[in-house]
Amino acid sequence: MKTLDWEPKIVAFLCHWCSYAGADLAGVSRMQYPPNVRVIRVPCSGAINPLYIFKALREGADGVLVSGCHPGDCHYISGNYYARRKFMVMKNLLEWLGFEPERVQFSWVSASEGQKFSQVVEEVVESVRSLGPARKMIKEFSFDVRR
Amino acid sequence: MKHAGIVKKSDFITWLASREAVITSERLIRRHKELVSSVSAMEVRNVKETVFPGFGTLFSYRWEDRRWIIEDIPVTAKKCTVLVHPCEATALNEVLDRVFMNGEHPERDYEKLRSSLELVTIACEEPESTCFCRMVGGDPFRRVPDTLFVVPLEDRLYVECEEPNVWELWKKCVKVPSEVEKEIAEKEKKSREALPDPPLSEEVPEQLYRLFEDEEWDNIAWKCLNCGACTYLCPTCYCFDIHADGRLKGYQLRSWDACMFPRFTLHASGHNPRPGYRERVRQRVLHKFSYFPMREEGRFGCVGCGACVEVCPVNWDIREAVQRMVKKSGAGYARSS
Amino acid sequence: MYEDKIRKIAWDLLEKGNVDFIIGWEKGSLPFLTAPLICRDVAETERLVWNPFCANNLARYLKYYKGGKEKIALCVKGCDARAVSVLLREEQIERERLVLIGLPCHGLINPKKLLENFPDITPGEVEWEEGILRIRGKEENIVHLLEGSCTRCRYPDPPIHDFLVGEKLGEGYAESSEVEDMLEYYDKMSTEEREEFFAREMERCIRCYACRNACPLCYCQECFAESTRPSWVSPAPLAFDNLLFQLGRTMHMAGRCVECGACGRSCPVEIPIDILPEKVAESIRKEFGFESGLDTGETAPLLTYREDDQEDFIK
Repeated sequence: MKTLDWEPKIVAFLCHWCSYAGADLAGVSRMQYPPNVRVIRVPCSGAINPLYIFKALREGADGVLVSGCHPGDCHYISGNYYARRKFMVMKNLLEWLGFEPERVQFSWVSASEGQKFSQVVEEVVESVRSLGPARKMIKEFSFDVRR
Repeated sequence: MKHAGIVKKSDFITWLASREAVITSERLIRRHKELVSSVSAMEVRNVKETVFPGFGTLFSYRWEDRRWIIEDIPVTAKKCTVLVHPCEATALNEVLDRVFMNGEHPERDYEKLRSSLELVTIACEEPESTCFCRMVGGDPFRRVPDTLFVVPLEDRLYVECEEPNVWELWKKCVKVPSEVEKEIAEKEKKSREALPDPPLSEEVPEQLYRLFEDEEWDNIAWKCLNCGACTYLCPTCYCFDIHADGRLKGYQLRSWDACMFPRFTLHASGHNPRPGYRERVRQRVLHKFSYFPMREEGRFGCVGCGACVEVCPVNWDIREAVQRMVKKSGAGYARSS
Repeated sequence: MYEDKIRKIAWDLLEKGNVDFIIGWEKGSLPFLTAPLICRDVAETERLVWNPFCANNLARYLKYYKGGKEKIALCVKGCDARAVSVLLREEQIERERLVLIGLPCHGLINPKKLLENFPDITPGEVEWEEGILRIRGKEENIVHLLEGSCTRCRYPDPPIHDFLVGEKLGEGYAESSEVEDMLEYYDKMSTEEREEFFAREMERCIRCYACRNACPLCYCQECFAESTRPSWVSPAPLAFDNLLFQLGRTMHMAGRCVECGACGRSCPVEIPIDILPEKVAESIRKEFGFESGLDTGETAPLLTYREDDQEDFIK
């Protein structure tokens, strides 16, 4: 049910030290990127609980972007390494269950990569847009089991 | 006034097929497949779902123009014929109805859903190893008031009801031959004999209540996992939770809740009056076998359908628990009834 | 008879006062079922049983005794012992307080499968003695009756134990060609089929939390599913929320799940929910070569990292 006025909603979890600063740089450099992302700043990509991602999807996000520092650059030394393992396990599971892989995406964006950030957002928004709104297996609420 | 008749099986099935919708329970399908196979019957795990579903909306709300807009969501109720066993019919008729429809303030949605049901009680000829309806005042051949009572015979059905005019099927019924009457009586006897647990005496609720602080509860409750399988699949458990889904726009939902969960009694202060498995299991047993009958003229809050025994992951058997406590209380059983 | 040996061990332990109680299984109130049993008294040890219907993972009960002083004897199958080992690693219980009665396990029999294959069977017609199953006097192969998770069993022998009752079996059914691996069945489905399958199953879920509560490794004081601030999933059994609850639970089990299948066996509406954590356990085994609960001293896979971990999925 793709409608013309539908715009994808993307929730972006950005690590404070790199990706958030990267997004900032994209802003101050006046780079254009789609306004579909809602940014949530987190201390580190390693601090992102898979539940955050599930909750975003539950509350109506069509896609989720998780972004952190490049490997080796983590402010907390190894947070993103842990995150990488965690997300790999999660991504494998979601794909096995039939979630479209484009719904949950990951990237490394450093504080100096404003250009990359805008590019990543563009890619994510476009891929989610082509998928259409998230189907959520939610039936219309009804009090009557005899639907 | 009791009216009895005999109807051909094919006539019964035609009558069923002519109903707007047919609902039946899982356990009934297991035993009487031939009755419902030709009608597209909806199957429920648990008969209370028809009147008190697992979740539903009460109203929708949204924040608009700086005020809350609240819209009522009334239930839509379709006329339904429900095929159930006597235990399940009793659960609706004598337990849930008392809870939701008695008194000054009947529950609106429940009332609407309930009044759209017509119950057909199919006699229970082969009680399963989990059944114990006689223990709580039921009977496998119980004629539940306001229902059509049916005993399937070879190629016809024995039908009994109080108000023949209500049932369209009655026109097809003929007089009951005496040999059939004898057959029914025999079946009744056989079925009753398959249920070894004698009825609990009237003193049980009071006596159990006195054992509130008993140490035995700990032994009874220990193996319980505190999951909600028994309560959710129990036809008489009626606890629910109300919660909002969505912040500025959403629905007020009502869903089942269970006394088995620690959160059920958790106070905002953090205090929990039922902190452990012991208290929670005690609540489940006492509510059904003590508080409810003390309040509702001796009607046990359990109908003995055995659904909880069947689904329990650790084989926690409510019969054992009650028997142990009853033995301890000295209340014992009613003399043969 | 192994049962007699277990009773003897239990009797000795209680008699000498080495432990405060024994946790084992007793005969259930329904055919082909057992129930967990706690024996505080030597007389009660007579009720202990051991057969392929001992489905409950008894390590689940250890959470009641965290921080206590009791000494506990626990009957453990291979998977139960692995769960205990994870609990030890996570400091939920002290090894000195535990006496583990290890029971090499031939696999659990699914009562439903048994009744399907042998209609109208009664408990008296099923004999079990030291790994040999006799049904109506005829020797039968257990492999067609196995519980799903047992078809994937790799470690039938308890990796940690203080007593061992019976012979070590060495290998589980995982590599056996006779048995169809439970996960294979779901792996063979196309992604669309699998998605549909889960959508359908999740609609049936009633959110009774039996899967969570039966799990030996779910011991959070407050479960994320029941937390209200923030509320991660709705308490109402909405299909999508049911799935998210299962996903959250599965992610909590990642790298910890010992593949005992207790969650799947406990489900009252028979959703084979154990396949989710088992799938994750499998992917962790393939990716990081780690198997949970083997007492090898290895760090859990999600608590460590390698610099060259796979990252082709990250932009």
